[in-house]
Parts: sequence; C-alpha cells; structure tokens
Amino acid sequence: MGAISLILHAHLPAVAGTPVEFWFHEALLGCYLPLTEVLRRARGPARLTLSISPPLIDMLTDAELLVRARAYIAAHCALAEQARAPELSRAAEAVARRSRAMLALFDELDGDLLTIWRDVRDAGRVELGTCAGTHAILPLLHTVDFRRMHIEHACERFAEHFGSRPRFMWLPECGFAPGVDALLNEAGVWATVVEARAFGEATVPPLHGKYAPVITENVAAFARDPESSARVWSGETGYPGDAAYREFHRDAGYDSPEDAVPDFIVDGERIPSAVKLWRVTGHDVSLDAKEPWDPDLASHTAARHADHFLRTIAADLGAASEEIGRPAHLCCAFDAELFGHWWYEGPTFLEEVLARSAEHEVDLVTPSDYLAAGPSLQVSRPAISTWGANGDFSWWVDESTTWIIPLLHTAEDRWLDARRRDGQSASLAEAARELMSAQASDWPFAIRGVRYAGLARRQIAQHVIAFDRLLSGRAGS
Amino acid sequence: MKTPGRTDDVNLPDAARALGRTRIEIVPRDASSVFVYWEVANLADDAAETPQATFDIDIRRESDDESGASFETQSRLDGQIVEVPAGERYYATLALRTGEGRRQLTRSSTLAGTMASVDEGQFVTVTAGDDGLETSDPQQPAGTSVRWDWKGTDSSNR
Repeated sequence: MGAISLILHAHLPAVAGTPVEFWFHEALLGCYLPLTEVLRRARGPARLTLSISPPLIDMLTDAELLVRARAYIAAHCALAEQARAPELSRAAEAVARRSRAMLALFDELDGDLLTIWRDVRDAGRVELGTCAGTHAILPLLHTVDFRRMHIEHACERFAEHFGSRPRFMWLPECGFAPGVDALLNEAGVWATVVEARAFGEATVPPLHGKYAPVITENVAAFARDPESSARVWSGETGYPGDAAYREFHRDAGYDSPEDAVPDFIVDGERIPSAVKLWRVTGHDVSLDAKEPWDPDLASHTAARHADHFLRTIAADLGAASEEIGRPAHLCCAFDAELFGHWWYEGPTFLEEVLARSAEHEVDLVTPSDYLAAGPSLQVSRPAISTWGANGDFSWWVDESTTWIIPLLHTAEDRWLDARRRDGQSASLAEAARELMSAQASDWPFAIRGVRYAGLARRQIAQHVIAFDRLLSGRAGS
Repeated sequence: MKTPGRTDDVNLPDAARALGRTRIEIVPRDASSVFVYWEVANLADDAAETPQATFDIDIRRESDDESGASFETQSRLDGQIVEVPAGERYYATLALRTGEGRRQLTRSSTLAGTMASVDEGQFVTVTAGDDGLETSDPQQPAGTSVRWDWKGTDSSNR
C-alpha cells in the first residue's frame, strides 16, 4: 500500500527563569510525559520520529527547573482533586487520575526523559533527531558561518545525550534555502523535512510530488503533506476541533479565588493550572457555556479519528502508488506539543495510530528506515520556503519585527571580525552562544503574537547586551 | 520602520545598531516583497557627508539587471519592506546621488531563491552508509508525473 513517516518536532523556547516558565511545566505534563508513556507501551513494527531541539534538551536537563516543574505538576494534581460541582466530577477525576499517573512516571524516571527516550530508541521504537541550533530560521541568518554553527551545536548537544550524531535534523520553521542542504550534509545529517511549497516551486518539480522524498546535496528532503497536516493540526476543520475534545482555553484555575491557587500566581499574574474540565462543545459556543468534558466520549472519538486518519491515508497512498508506479510515501510532520498540550487527547490518537496502522496496511517508518531500503530518488533542489503562512517568511519578517534582522546580522559580522582579528577564545565562544540565543525564531513569533511581545523583546535585548559585553571584553560589568 | 535596534522598552548599546561600514543587505520575505536594510558610514566623500546627502536604493533582478523597485532616502541606517515582482532572484544596490549623477557605493549578495543543483531531474539509487548517503546508478526519469495540488490546503502552523 505505502508508508508514512510520522514526525514530531519537540521544541520550546528557552523560558527557564522567565515569567512564562510555566510553558515548560505545561508541556512536560501535557505532552512529553504522555508521549513517553506512548513510546514505552508501543509494540509492533510501527515507528515514530521524534526531533528534540537543543533548547528543550537544555531545559529537560536543568535540575532546578525540573524541581519546579514537579512542584507545578503536584499543585495541578491537588487542584484537580478538589471538590467540584457534580457535573464536573467525572472530568476532574479523569484529569486527576491521568495527571497522578504522569507525576508517578516523572518520579519513576527521576525526571530524566532523555535517558528513557534513548532507551526506547535503542529498543527500536523511535528514531530520534534534533533541530538546528537555538531554533533560528537558517535562511534569515546573515552568514554561512552562523548557519553552520547552529547545525553543529545541535549535532554536538544531541551526541552528548544520545551517544551519536543525528541522521535526521528538523529545520526550524522548516526554513530551507539552497545551501542549507550542503551544510546538513557536511554535518552528517541525511534527512530533513521541507514544506510542500519547496517541492512545488523547485526548479525541477519532483516527478512524484509529495509522495517520495528527493535527494539534494546527498540529503533526503521529505515534503510535509499539507492535507494530513491540516486534518490533524487545524483547530477549526481538523480533529482537535471536535466537540467531544477537551477545551484548551478554559482553565479551572481562573475560576478559583487567588488565595486558593497560590501555586498559579507568578509575579502577581495568574498562570494556567492545566486543570481543564470542559469540552469544545461547538465553535460558536462561548467559554462560559462549554459543557463538561466527558473522558469516555473523548477517548472513543480519538480512536475513531485515528481510524479515519489511517483510512484516509491508506486511500491516498493506494491511489498515488498506482499513479506513480512505486510504493508512495507521505511525510506527516507536526509540533510534538500538539499531542497532549494543545490537543489533550492527542496521545490517545497517536497510540491508536501506532497500534492500528498495520490493519490499514499503512507502514509507519522513519526517514532512516525509508533510506535504509535503498530507494531510487530524484535529484531535485527544493525552493526557498518555510512552513509559515503561504510557505514564506512574512510571519517573521514583518513591520513589527524587521528591526531584529539588521541588529542580529550586524552582530554576526562583528563576531566574525573579532574571530579574524583575535582568534577563538572562551569569551568569543560564549558571545556566539548569546547571539545564537537571540536568533531564535520564537522571539519574532512572540512579538507578532502581541501577548508576550515585551518578554520577547527583552530576551533579544538581554542576549545582545550580553553578546556586546563579551565581545568588548567587559563580561560581568 | 523603526531604526534597527530600537525597541519599545529596552535600551540596546549603540554599538549593536551599526557596523561602521557602508553596506546593504536583502532578506527574503514573501512572493512579492523583500526586506532591505542599509548603512552608510565612513565615506571619504564630501557629498556623502553633507546632511542633505541622498541615497538611492535599487532592488535589481539578477537575470537582466533591470530594476524591480527603487526609492531614495536620506537615512544612513535603516531598512524597509519593498515590493518586488515575484519569481526572480534579486540583489540590492546603494548609491549616492551627487550633482553629477549617481555613484554606486555597494551592492548586496544575491537573494537565495531557487537554484538548480547538479544533475537535477535524474533518479539515483540511495544507499545509507556509515559515512552518510551515497548515490549511484543515475537514470533519467521514467513514468508519469503525479497530479498534485501542492498549494492545496493551507496547513501552515503560523
């Protein structure tokens, strides 16, 4: 019939010690721990691909941050177990039961998810990869030197924790431009994902479209399938928008008086408790009119959607295979945090997809599995692109964010001038790390999103100021 | 556009904003626009040093060197989004307008767009080895192309 690669890109911006550190706590509880449970329970030949960004690796190995994360999860459990109105008791019991299980898993692993992920990788259930550097969009960087640095930094961090350099590397925001492929090849990476547009606008559009990867500078580029992505990603037309699923935007913590939720007040501001007890109900239903979440209905809906996903994929692969005269392949790539954080039932959906893919004659393979079979691939260089709106860079290159570009480009030039003049040094290396932290795509993204724009601007400024001090030899002043 | 480096609520060191060199750079944005920024610095030129000095910014097509968009400015450190016709590779030039005409000061590198790779189009057999992917047995494409609406559903995450 054909095969798909189900690729999860796990990434958070570096938020430890910031007012939005709770993003990490929420993602750990909602996504990374449940995903770990799914991977540990998985049996059979179906395999996932999990990319873990260097900033996330840093946070998952930050002992003090993990202590605070555990405290958040414990407080969340206590809030979920508080007495509720009768119509919410089933929902609260289900949330509390699952969260207690995640807390128990955290304690069993002593908070060390990377080691268990390495173990499931060695047991053959997942391919692990990483993401370039600090999540900077490589085509928007000024110099090849810094693009290379981001890729090399990612390879080194990955090797530190997983014993070898990665073969699969996620490009931040799927940001690709000619030349990035050569840099990936140079680093020993042999597979990546690009947006569908990258194939559609290639100088030689691939003969098999999205149904086979192409080879460019000895790197296999897989095109993200837009149809299956929309089916899973879209909150309006996709599965997560179903009326049965848990509503993300209504948090029980906000219904409680402040003195009842001290663990969810940071710097005088409320933060989400992740205790959510209502279901989507309908797109036109206001938050205060949402109905209580029914865990059994939600679970059955997730299983039904997994079945629909596989049936639709199987039909697509079958028709395409016949058309192109070889087994077709689709790349289904998502932010990992969709599964469990944004879409509470996402891990259930994933587990069902893994368990039932064989009965639908859909092979779940990793990029390396696909390449290990010795396929015939077309040589084609993808076009410059991202997975942003319209496949371009406009989300990050906007009137509100263009000030960032010359600022950081200037810093790259200054750093390279300093290296040519003075040679490599510890302070120069540290300056590079500060600049790379400023280059994360998360900051312009947050500025566009408005709500956390001030924090994002401050993060950029702090890193640039630290960079400047290091370069000027005034570290610590 | 705000002066590069200026933000609403943080103060960045002056050195962060300028490189001290005359330069112009062009950055990809979308199908019909690019972002261009420039700096004019340390010119040993009386005309350039007058406060009223005017500079021409020109976004030119690499294929025929024709201008896709142009504007003039007196700002020595700035940038802006510029609309350009789609589907081309561009570079930018920065020129000083003098009494005798225009004098180009510098040009940018060419914006990376779509560049053909060597042997593009043919099929190769891929082998995954310890040293990476190897390719062999180049063949011309066979079979029919697949019908695929790549613009299809907008599944963008942003």
